[in-house]
Amino acid sequence: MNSLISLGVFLCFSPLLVFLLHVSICRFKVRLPIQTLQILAYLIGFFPLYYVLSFVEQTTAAVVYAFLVYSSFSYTYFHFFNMSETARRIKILYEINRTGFLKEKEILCLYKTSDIVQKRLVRLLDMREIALEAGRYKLQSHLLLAVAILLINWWRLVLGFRDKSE
Amino acid sequence: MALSLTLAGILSFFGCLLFHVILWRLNRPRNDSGTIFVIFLFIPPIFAVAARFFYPVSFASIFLWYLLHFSLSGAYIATYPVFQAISPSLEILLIMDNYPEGLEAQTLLSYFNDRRLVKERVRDLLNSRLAKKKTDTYHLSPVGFCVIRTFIAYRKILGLGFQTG
Repeated sequence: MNSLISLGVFLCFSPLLVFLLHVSICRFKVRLPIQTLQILAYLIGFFPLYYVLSFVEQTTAAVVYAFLVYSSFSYTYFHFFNMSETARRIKILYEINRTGFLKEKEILCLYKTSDIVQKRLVRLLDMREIALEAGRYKLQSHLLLAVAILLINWWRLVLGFRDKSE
Repeated sequence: MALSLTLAGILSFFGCLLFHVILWRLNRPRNDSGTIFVIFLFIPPIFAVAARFFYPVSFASIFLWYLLHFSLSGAYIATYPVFQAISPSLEILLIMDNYPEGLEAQTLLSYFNDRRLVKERVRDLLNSRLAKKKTDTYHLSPVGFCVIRTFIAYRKILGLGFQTG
């Protein structure tokens, strides 16, 4: 039980570990897409996790437990980072903070569809979900799309959401 | 021991998920993000501590169970905005799926509407009490101020600035 508690304490701090790894990688100015840097930080984090696991009685359940906690925390951390990258809510808060207050018209002027879409296109190109060929954007991988259609639409249906904007 | 803790963590997470689905189908709360926090993060530990009066369970076990429950719940809470409103990235992919020969950026842009993309998010900010409306201007709430200062500090540590868009 004591070794399990040690593992638990380590896992409590695992978001901090992933954050520190992410900071180190970002500070090295590695020329890789931002999503790849996140995955790299997550994967490197498995080395210290493996080390801590070596002190615990390594049953399958303990390994599954550690993997679930570490991966879930890392996933949440990367969502947090992605929010700071592209979330419109955060950008609007940032602009209100910068200027003190904003009128609705000013918010609409700040966020042009072209900027919002362009940023997503760059990210999707980086992730190789789409490709740019002779000025035309094409779907390259159907993985994200399959997840979008199957999982997201299905879960929206389960939760009782009716239309896109709800 | 690890097996029972792992199972307990997974089961309590799915229990909360079931409760969340039932509640959403009956009457989705206006402040849905806040309610999700209460359902997934605050109610389960109250039940766990109350269970100690009827069943001998150590605080160490509660800690390890809650750690798994908390991490899984955190991952779901972080994903929830994707279900709340279709993200532009996914919308782009769905549009592209209809054009096997590809499409130009201009064609893609014609599918989007400035007002809808931004207005929905402003409404979310008001509902989650991160911003407040005074006559015709939007201001930060104290919580909104703390949230944005955290993000600014966080990006500074990463060596990244804040970009708009």
